[in-house]
Amino acid sequence: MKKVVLIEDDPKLCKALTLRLKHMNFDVVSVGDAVSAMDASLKQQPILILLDINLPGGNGFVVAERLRAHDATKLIPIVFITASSKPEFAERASSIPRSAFLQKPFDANQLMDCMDACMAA
Amino acid sequence: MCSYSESVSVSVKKYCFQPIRIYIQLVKPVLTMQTALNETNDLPCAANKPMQLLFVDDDSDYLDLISRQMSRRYGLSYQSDRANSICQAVKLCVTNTYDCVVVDYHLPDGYGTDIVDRLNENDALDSMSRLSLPPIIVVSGDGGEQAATQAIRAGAVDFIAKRDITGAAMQRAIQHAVDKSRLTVSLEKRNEELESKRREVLEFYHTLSHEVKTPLASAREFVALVRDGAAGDVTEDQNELLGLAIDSCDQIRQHFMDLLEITRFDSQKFKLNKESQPLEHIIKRSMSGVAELARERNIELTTIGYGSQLHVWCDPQRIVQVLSNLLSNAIKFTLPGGWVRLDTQVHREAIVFEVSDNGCGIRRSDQAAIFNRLYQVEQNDGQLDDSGLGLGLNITRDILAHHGAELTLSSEWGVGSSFRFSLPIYQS
Repeated sequence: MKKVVLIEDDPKLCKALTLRLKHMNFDVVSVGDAVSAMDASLKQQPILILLDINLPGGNGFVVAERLRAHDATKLIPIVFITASSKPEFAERASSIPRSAFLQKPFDANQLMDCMDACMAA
Repeated sequence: MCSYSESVSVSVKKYCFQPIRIYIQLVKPVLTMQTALNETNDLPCAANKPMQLLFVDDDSDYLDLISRQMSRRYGLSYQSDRANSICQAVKLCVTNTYDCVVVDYHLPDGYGTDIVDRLNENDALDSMSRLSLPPIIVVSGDGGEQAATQAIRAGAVDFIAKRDITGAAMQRAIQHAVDKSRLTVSLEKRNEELESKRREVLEFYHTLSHEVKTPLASAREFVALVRDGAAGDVTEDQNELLGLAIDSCDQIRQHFMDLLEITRFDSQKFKLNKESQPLEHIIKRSMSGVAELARERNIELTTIGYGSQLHVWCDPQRIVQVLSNLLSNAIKFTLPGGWVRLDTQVHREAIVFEVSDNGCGIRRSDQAAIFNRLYQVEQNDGQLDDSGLGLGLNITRDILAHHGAELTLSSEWGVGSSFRFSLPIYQS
């Protein structure tokens, strides 16, 4: 099964998204902070990373920049997810190569479309 | 027996000096009383402290003259200091608070208006003090329009030629300068407070939105998972009820989006990303977004277009938002079996978009107010339409205004409505 790393600190949303991704036939590894995010991504080598922007221990953009700076993870597509409506978040996300941006709450179709577009890019 | 000279002397004393002495003795109290009255008018009452003034001129004779002229009271109560250079004036301004500074244009160490720059650069002053620097009145022996223009451009609030200075004119100029300065400072402080409040409100909405949207996302997703069979099969009735729960979640999300849009408009943080966009794409996206709603309500949804080769210069996401809002409103206010239509026509170098319906129409009394925030019209059954916050048309109008377009309405109660706007055709 294709593997996805989910980085989301809210436990309920993490559980909901894990169930959704499993329902979509993905294997899911989830972590809840910026520090564990890098380790999990390096170890699991997923086909895609779902990354919350507001995380304990750092923000999602810092994690993304570290992922892009590492040879082992620089090509893994990243979908940023956030509840924030600040336009600067979308702008910053667009500056990260091979990434997409999704605002919470989203439905399963939106998630799937976003993941497909990101992986195809 | 006295001599002639002694006689003359006695006569002079009696008939000349005596009357003069009497006159002086009579008039003196009157003068004293008058002076006392004049000074009483100038006595500061508890609410009116004397103004603190600074006179700056390297000509000390001129400063003495000013002092004598100002000593005649024309209603201005003040205390003053003197300086004879910019350097000395700046030192005094740092350690004292002045209501006004009257300064000669030509000083040994620079132009009189240089005081403002020197004070702004002075580390001893904090930002609040810089905000309330005293107004500067420039006086100059040069006189003339050129000197006046230079002084005003350099930051002075008034200019007086030395030859025109009288005590009354000086006091009037000082009073006006101080009044104007106080009003300006008060206005700037008020603007800063309002700006700060605006930032606070925007931050509050962002925080509130963020804190609500994450649990909302969880709730929506759990309901959707059950509806989609992730936790086992669901019956048709269960599917319907779960669908309604999801719709409610989407409604809450839309309300927060609308609130944030409004705060962005208010704080002037709203930005458009304009580009050339095929008209066909805009129409397709707008229509597909409301197709399901039209089907559910049994409304015939059609579009009549001019041609698919045209491009429009706009922010496509925002124009789709506008059309979706107008179309969904039209569907909401049209009875089942009715129709809603999106027309596009070319008129000169623009494309005219028109969303029309054969719904209930809008009463004349509501037509101006429907674009106001939080305004909700009555539906057919007399109930207020409470499915939204009443922000949709206001946001729609603001988006179009940012495009330089006007949204117009024609409607007749019981017949239907038509909303119209136009956007420029993109000519490559």
